Amino acid sequence: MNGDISKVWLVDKKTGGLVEASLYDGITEAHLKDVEKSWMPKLRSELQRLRATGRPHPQSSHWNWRDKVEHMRGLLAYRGFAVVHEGHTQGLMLVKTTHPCRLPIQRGKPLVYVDYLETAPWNQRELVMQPQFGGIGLVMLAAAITLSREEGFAGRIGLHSLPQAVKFYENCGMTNLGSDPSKQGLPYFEMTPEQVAAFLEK
Amino acid sequence: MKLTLTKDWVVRRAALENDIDVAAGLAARHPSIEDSQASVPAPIETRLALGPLVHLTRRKHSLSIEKLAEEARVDLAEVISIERDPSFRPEPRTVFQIADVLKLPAKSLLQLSGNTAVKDEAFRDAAVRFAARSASVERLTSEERKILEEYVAFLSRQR
Repeated sequence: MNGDISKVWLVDKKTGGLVEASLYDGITEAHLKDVEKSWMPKLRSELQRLRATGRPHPQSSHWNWRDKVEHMRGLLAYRGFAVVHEGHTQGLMLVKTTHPCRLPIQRGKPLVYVDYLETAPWNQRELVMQPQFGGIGLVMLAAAITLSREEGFAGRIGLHSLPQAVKFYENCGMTNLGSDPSKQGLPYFEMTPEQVAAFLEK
Repeated sequence: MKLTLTKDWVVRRAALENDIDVAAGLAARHPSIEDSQASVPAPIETRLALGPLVHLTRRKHSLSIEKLAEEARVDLAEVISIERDPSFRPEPRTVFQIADVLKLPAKSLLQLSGNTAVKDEAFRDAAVRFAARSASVERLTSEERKILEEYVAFLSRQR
């Protein structure tokens, strides 16, 4: 964490226009407080609501609240990024820089691995009918790529997508290497320097 | 690390994300409801009165569910859950917004919804009595009678 703050933009879903937001290099205690005070209650009530309305709630198995809370606390120890708009944490990302590539053409080379990426519950299509802000995924991917370049990894990144997000990573031009049994079957995605160039192209 | 993204780039790439969730990594999975029960208050009897109260007051103001949701700036499904599901606990913000639109006392609604504690026995009794009395005793319309009879007939054919 070096505390840098960059100006970024999010899509305001209500108006369709762009709003200014801040990307923080580093997850701080303030972001976590926001998660505990705003994310968790919202997540809890939305999941309850989905259950009450009889809709199967998304991606729930194998995961409990204690894990979630402990994981969130653990964020402080790793390299992370936070997107903040209007004083609220809109998205969080945790990255690791010690992972090797799996894609044959770049196998063994280092990449930035996105260990965790999530948006605030009020921005999740799976939870609310009208998400408030979009574009957080774009900003976070661009951040992971920029970090990868700074580390000398040529922009290479990798991640395990949740099922509901697969389309997004495909749209961004990443290669889907298929279901990974070591991650409860989540599909693994990787981005090559060429795919990075296309993604960031003006 | 500084990130330099142009506004133009975000505009042109926005369609890639559109309405798709972007969650990655096992930790982004949602926790299961069952695990959360311990720290969620059990359904309480005053909540039986919240639904009928919101429902009747909404109709008194000639508001549709959609209109109420819109004016209160809360999710449509949330309003439906409040009216129909006594086990649903709305967030304080939602309760405030709805109380405001329906011109009901927010403090009492927060108590009914289980967001603030009820110490008063009489308040609780009145809530349950209201819930019972608010159940309609109107004669059925012919349409309602037909739907009901069909369903009862279906039920009696079950073993």
